Order: sequence, then structure tokens, then C-alpha cells
Amino acid sequence: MSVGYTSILWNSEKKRYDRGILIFVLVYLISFYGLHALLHPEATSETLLIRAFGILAFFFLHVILVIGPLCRLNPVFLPLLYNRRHMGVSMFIVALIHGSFSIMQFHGFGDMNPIRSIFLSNLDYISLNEFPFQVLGFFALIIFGLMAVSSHDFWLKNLGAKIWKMLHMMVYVAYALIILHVVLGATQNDKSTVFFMIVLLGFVSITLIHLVAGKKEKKVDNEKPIVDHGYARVCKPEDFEENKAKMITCGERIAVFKYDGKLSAVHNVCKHQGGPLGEGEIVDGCITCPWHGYQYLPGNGQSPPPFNEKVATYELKIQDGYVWVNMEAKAEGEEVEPLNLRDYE
Amino acid sequence: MSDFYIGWSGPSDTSRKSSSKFYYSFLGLMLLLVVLFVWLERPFSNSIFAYGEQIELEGYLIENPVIALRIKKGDEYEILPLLGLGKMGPHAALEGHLGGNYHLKVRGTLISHKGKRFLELTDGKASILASKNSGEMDHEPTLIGSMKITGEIMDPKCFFGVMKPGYGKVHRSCAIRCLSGQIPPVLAIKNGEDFEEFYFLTDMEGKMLKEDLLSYVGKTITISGNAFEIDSWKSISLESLEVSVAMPEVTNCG
Amino acid sequence: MIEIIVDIVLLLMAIYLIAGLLFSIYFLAKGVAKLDEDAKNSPWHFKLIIWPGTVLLWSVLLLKMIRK
Repeated sequence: MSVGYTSILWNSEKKRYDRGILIFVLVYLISFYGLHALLHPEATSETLLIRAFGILAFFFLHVILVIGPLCRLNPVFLPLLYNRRHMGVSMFIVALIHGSFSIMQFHGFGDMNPIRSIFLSNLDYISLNEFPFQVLGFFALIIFGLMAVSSHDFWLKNLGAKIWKMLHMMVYVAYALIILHVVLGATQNDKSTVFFMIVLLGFVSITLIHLVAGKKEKKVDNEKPIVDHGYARVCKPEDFEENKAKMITCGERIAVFKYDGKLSAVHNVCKHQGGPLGEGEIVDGCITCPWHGYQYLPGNGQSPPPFNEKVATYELKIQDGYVWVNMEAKAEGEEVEPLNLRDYE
Repeated sequence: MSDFYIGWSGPSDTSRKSSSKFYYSFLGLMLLLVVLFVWLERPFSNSIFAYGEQIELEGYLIENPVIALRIKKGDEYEILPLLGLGKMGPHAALEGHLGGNYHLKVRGTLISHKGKRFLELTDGKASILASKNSGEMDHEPTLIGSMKITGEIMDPKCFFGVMKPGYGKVHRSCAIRCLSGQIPPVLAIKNGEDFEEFYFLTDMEGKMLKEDLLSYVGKTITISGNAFEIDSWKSISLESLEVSVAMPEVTNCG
Repeated sequence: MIEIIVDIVLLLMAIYLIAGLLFSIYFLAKGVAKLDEDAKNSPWHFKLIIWPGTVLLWSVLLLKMIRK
């Protein structure tokens, strides 16, 4: 965020979010262990620990994956997205506990290095049924680890948007590995159809919601605007809502905001984590990203001091009763005179 | 006032209400899944690993079909197989005693289930409290006959006490580690839902089998060989082995 | 055959991690401020929180520093 780094930038909402995660984990563990004490008092503590933390990580992963598409469908889910990174790191810690104890329990204290044993105990790599499922979990944990350690804003800036995004999109690779890890591992153990069906339900839900959100996004992007001499037609001036934006897609998505009787256009993608600026609002004179509240001045696409993120700006004009945007972007942070709507009334 | 959510400026009443709704929905879903999971979970066995408590026992050290103490109990004998710490056999602890004829007094941690007992020599060499040479024990196993048995190869340390469950796909790597560490392999046969009959697996000379079995651990397999009885245990000498999907059964061939 | 492949891969991973550990000593002491001006005079807890990433992603950081 370019003001000098600290470890964690707390605010009241993040603290509330994290408190929620902690309470969730505690309630889960108490109920998990409590129910086992009632129904399965013969259970061993190591088995319970491995199962408890494995199931919790699995649940967290589904919640995390569902947040993104839900927010695309309805902004009411945005509070879940705000501090999602803390949930991701928490999920990794829970998964790490599960993985570490599993490695110790099933591969440790034997005649082979436990890490070697993960790969060399069960050698049925060409069988689906007998596949060494623990290898899949191991690689998924590495991916989650790489994501967790790179979740600070420092990494966003210094790895560069492309590498950072690619790294964090690997969550889907990790998810596939985890589904297989569970299906070829734990569900084989109990041979209960219900467990398998629950896993299948989770996978189908995640897939479906991504497809629905993706379809909605594609519909927006497929609405090709009318183009004339390098300008794309946005809409009529009276179609704008105060302090909100209209978006068009012409290669890139461009957001055109109305504020104080003026219009300004910026590149739709927030410099922080790629949030859709056009779905945000003008607050205190600044375009505010709906994901994490990053702000940009509409006239030049620059973050207000002391911050120094910048987005590209675009020229606007009114012609034949419509607002048009010049599809060729100006430099990031370049000042563009806002279009004064009063001049056209 | 706009409902536009800005995380750093704190929640509005609307966002507070909606985020609470989501939170309690997720919490409710999680609790439902926990109840479902615990309710449907396969029951745990009542095997015992007396961790933290050690007992002292004495008997004659035998090595076939498994390294064990042969303990006199009135007119009968109990075969008490000996195990090492972790996923290891007892060889390190019994160094200097194997290959000889010894009467030992040992201390260790008991593992027991389904009428069978094992002893982990928890303190390694220090588990041997006393040893003296003895005459050779007459402990020839009794031949039951030629058999074809379907069951699962498992490591007895985990199955009979240390791990729950000590069998199946998830436990497979652990069982492989244990057998690789020279814990004696046991063939377990199901009777209904539970494993009820157990055979130590030996080679044709009646000695404990080792690495050859590793790729078969945790799978349902069919073994043909000669079955023997020795005191409280049975063993089968491996003639042939194949992975099987048949229902577990015991066929007496001779 | 598979044992050899696994051992080579694990060895390479171990070497990578050790290199990362060594790199992180230099990076957190001096390198981070050269790469990112905003990290100058950053508190110890910031360096602590980026330390695991430095160990795991040192190769990318090194490339960025060289390019800069």
C-alpha cells in the first residue's frame, strides 16, 4: 500500500473477522472432540487430531473458494471477501497441523526418513484405487504454503501482479489435489457413501457457482459497444447514477464514473488485487474499490497521498446524445479533464 | 446512507447484519457436518496400548514364527510377540540374545486386543532386566493343514493397540513402515464386519517374512500355504499370494 | 527407479530451501530496502512475516533485484 510496511494492518473490521475465525475454530474443535467423547470414547487422540484438522481445512477451503464467485453475483457478500486472506492463511495453518501430524503418525519413527516415506511407502502410482493419496495432499500443502507466505501486500508489489496472480490462481490446482486426496484416501477408509457424496456435493457446488459467476461475467464482456473512430459508446448521460459507474468492455473493461455533475473514466482493474473499480462508488471524492477500499482520484487515476497506486485514465466526449470513451488509454496517473455534464444540458 | 461496504471504515448496520447471517449459516452448516461425520464414522476398536505404564514379564525367547516370549501359564503357554519402539521390530533391543537360547525377564508396554497381547520393549536394551541361558524349548508348531485364506496383511502393533484404525487404505503407509521395520506381518481375516482370526505370515521354513509383502499391505489378498498352530497363535507359511477382491474366507485344502 | 527420482527431487528441494535460508539473511538485513523503498526502516515484525516467503520465493526476488 506504499506507506511503509508493517506486519498486519489491523482495523476493527479485520479484528472482527479474525475473531470470527478463531471462535469458529474453537466451537468446531469443542464440538468435534465433545461428540467423539460421547459417541466414540475409544478413539485415540492422534487420530482425532488428524481428522479434526483435516476436515476443518477442507471446510475452510470450500468457504474460501465460494467467496469470489458469490461476490461476483451479489455485492452483499463483500464483507466475506474483505479479509479473505486471513482465512486463507488460517486454512493453511490448520492444513499444516493436519499434514504434520499425519506425516509423523503414518511415516515417522520408522526405518525411513518420513518425507521420503510419503513418496516411497506406497508405490502404487499407476493404480487409481491404491494411489498414494498422501502425495497429493503434500503437494497441495506446498501450494497453500506458497500462497500463505506471499499473501502480504509486499509480495503483491514485488513479485509483480502477473506472478502473484498466477501463484494464487494455483489454489484451483490445490483444490483438485485435495479432492483427489480425500476421495482416494479418507473416503476409502470408511467406505461410507455419505462421506463421498458430501465431498462430491462440495465439489459440484464450487464448480457450479464458478460457472454461474463466469457466465455472468462473460455476458457482460460479450456486450460489445458501438465503436466509432476509436471511441466506444457508453450510454446516455441521464443513465448514470450519482457516485456510481457504468462499465464497458472493449478489450479492457473501462469504468466511467459520475460525480459532482462530471464524468471521468478509468481502467476498471484495481492495482491492489484486481478488484472491479466500476462496481465501487465515489466516496469522499475518490473512486473506492469494493473489495478492499483502495481509492483513486477520478480525474487522474492516482491514489490520494500518501499512497501512490495509479490506474490508467481515458478521454470522454458527448456526441449525438451519448457519452463516448476513447478506447486508447492514457498513461497510468495521467490527468484528464473531466467531462462536465452541465456544459451539455 | 449508502450500503456500499468499505472494510477499513467499519461495518454499516446492513453489512453487519448480512455478515452475521453468513457467519451463523456457515457455523450451522459446519456443526451439521460434524454431527453427521461423528454419527456415521466407523466405530473405533477397544484395543489397548498401555502408553506410560510398563509391566514386567518373563519367558523363553523364541524366534519362529515370530520373535516372542513363550510364557508358561499353568499347563499352557502364551506366545507374547515382542516389538520395538515406534515402527521397529525388537531386534535392536534384543541384540546379543537372538540366535541363542535365553530365558528373559523384560519390561515393556502392553498392547492387547481380541485376546492377543504384544509387548513393546519401550526402553530398548534397558528393557531386558535379566537373561540366562536355558536349554532349547520344545515349541514345534502343530501343522493344521494346507489352506487358502483371504484377508488383509497388517502390522500387529498398530492393529492390536497403537493406532485406531490400524488397517485399511489410510493406514497403509504406516503398516508398510512397520513391516519394513521388521514388525511381524499378520494376516487378518474378517468375520462379518470385524477381523477375528489372525495368522503370522512366515516363509516356507517358518521364519518371519519381511519386505516381500510390502506392496500387498492394506489390500485384500488370498494366500495359500501350510497353516500351523503354536500355543495361542496360528501361522501360515507363504506358498503363493494374489491380490483378491473375493469375500474373505478360509478354505481348508487338506 | 522411483526411489532415485524421489531422492533427487527431495535433494533439490532441500538445496533450494537452504539457499533460501541463506539468501533471507542478506535480504532481510539489506536487500529488501534496495528492492522496495517502502521497506526501508520497516519494523522487525514485518521482516518476520515476510521471512518464510523470502525463503520459499528467493529465486524470484533475486531475479527482480538483478533486473532492477
